Amino acid sequence: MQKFLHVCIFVMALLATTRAHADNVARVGVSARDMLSLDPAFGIGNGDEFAIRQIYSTLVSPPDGTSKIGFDGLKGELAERWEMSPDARHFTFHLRQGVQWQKGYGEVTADDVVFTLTRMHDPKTGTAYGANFRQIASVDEPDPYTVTINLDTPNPFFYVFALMPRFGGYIVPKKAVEQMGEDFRRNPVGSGPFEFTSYEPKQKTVLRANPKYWEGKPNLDGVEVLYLPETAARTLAFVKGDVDMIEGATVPGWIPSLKRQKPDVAFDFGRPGAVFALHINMTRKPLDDLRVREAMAHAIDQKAWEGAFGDFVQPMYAVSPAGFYGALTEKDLPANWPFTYNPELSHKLLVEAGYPNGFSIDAFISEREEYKTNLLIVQEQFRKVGIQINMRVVDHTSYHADIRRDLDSLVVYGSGQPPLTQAVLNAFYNSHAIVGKPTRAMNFSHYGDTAGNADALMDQANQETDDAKRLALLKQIQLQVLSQVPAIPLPSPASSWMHSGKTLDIGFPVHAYMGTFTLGKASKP
Amino acid sequence: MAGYILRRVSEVIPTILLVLTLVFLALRVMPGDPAVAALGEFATPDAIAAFRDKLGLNDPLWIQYISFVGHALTLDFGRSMTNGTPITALLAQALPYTIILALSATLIGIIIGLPLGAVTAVKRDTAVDGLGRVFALIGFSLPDFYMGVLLLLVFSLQLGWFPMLGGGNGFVDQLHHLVLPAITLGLVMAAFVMRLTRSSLLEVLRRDYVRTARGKGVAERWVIFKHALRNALIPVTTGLGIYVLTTLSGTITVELVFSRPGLGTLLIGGVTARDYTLVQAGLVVFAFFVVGVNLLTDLLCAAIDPRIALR
Repeated sequence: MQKFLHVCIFVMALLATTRAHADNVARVGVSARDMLSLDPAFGIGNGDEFAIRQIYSTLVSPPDGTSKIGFDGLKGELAERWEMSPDARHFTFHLRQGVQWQKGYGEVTADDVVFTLTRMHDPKTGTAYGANFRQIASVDEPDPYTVTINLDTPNPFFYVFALMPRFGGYIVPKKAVEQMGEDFRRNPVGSGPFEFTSYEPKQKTVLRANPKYWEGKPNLDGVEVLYLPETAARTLAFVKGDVDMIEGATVPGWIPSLKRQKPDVAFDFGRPGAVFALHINMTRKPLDDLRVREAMAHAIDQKAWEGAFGDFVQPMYAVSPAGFYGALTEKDLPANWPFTYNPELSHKLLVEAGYPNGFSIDAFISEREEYKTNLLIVQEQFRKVGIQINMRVVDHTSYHADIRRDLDSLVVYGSGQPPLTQAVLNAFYNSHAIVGKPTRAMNFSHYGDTAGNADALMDQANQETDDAKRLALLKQIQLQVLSQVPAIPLPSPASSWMHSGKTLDIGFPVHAYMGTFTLGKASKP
Repeated sequence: MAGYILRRVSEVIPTILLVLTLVFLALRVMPGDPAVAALGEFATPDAIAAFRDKLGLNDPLWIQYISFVGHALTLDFGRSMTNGTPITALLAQALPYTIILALSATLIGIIIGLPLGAVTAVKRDTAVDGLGRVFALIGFSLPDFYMGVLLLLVFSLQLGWFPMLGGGNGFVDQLHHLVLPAITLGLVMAAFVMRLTRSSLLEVLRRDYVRTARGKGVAERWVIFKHALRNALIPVTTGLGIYVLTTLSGTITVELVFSRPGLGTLLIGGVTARDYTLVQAGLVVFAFFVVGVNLLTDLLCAAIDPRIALR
């Protein structure tokens, strides 16, 4: 018996040793249950985006690991030069010559760029990012290496919405898409640092280095994107060393706990982070009363989030977090700003509105940590001024379906937006985006039809070519919209990636928003 | 016996049809929209409507139902609504993991539970019996997800003997990945088999024919293994059949805890994304399993005791 035990222990030790990943492949755990699509027109969330970013290239992108979106400071990917017309209606890109598609699909040419933009613009494609491309009036192809995009209205930030990583801006090969049709989403072909090898449902997507990558062959032999939706499993796998990098989690105390278990962990916070807010449905009683909404706003103390999440979150003073173009800072705010913590004033406003004992309101919330935790903190702060939230937790898919049917009174919504304040305003406060309308459905407060309208000003800001005037307009809109308290800004969580400096060197500091970086320069020490 | 088999098989058909109907209805009354899940937060209502149209979700319910039943009976489950992968490919990839896990757990349960049950029955009210009963109590009290996490923390994280995630590549690696999940489910099953064997054997040991055998001077070992245990195995086999189904359900939790591929992982992912075609297919296969195991148990009992087929 003793001999048998010794043999068992020996075999286990042997297996444990052989299991250690000594290969040159980076294993990355993302917070997603599965891959939905590796076709950038249909990829959503970090689960898809991380692999898509490795497979494809865009025309331009922010410099490695950053979120810098200034037109002149961009990094050229497939484009080596680019120009914008003074009226911000024509964008010309001169393509790098000799860039090859993976898997022998030939050279990347202007034909592919025109095809990609036309495909994204066509409503029949059914891409969720279609709205970013609607402004395109035509695309010219004067020669095989030059593309000019003509817009129907001026938009100096068109390239941020439509041509950079994350929001469908990746260029796809015309020949491969036409040849594969629907199958392209499972057999992607790009021009990025890694090419697709295989996909195991609910498990992983396997990529290998693209030897013909335009920036040079990657140091890594490959990347495995592992789908690990449960925070505990992802964290344990990282602590044990089964994965080299993981996506972070919005769980109070998670970062200190991880630091204790793995002292050599490197935390990369991608900023600006997500746009989080508590949207107030102003069509419902008593939320239709401005005094009630102001009382709710004055009850919120953003410091509570800092206590729970530390550096992971940043305060958000208006509609967009610091780092977004046009974001307001503390010094931009007027004296009577409704989003300052003042429980006494909150109570006074409730009394004035006829609710001396407060009131209770039903709200449902997604089971996902980042949503539930936010509403729990809000619930606790509201309770102190007499507002009771009767919270019901539902699954994430139901939540997203039901808030778009206008069924909730208080909607916690976290969203990854292009780092532009005008993008946030258009998405959440434009009357065209009110839930139930056939355009975008993320205006949960009904601002625009209720309590004011800033659509014309938003259009003006979108088209303004003078930077100072545009910033002034954005400030004016934010002050006007938020004075009606259609939503209460909540602290913005960073997109976070954890890796061990000992096992994976990304090649540059990662501060890019929403995981939009490649592992093309990464190496395993 | 042939008549018995035919009768049992014909009883299976209405059960399958009922299951198909329930699966279809349950998914349709569930809140949430597969289109919203598949297209993400930036999807416009237009894009959502086009997606629903393409997948036939705007068709009347009865048309969807007939199409579903027709396809299910021919085992043509179509493609995943969310990422377009053929469902048969998804099932072909996931099913072996679940079947191997369930079989391994059953094997562990039988190897540990059967002898332990026999020994504790024979050594009734001794220290061995006491220890066996404590083992059964622990096995029943600890939920499988808790046991799984416990084993992961000790044998994977602390000792580093076993991997944390996945199903492994190649025979040896797959076996390595199987050990902890199989033990997690197998220990609970062992507790069940042990208790069932013990109580059944105790019952049989009190029977007249056992007393007669002993009176005739047959060796005690022979009495137990030849006369008593064989008869005691009939309720154990029936119980085992039922418990294999519980183990199949248990694989869902265990697959999640160990981030292991399988039918459970597939189903949970499908439910989360409201991937109707995937969940329907998964549940139908699951139902086929349940019906199949039930049928097999009945036939096995009839083989052990031919009188059952004659009733």
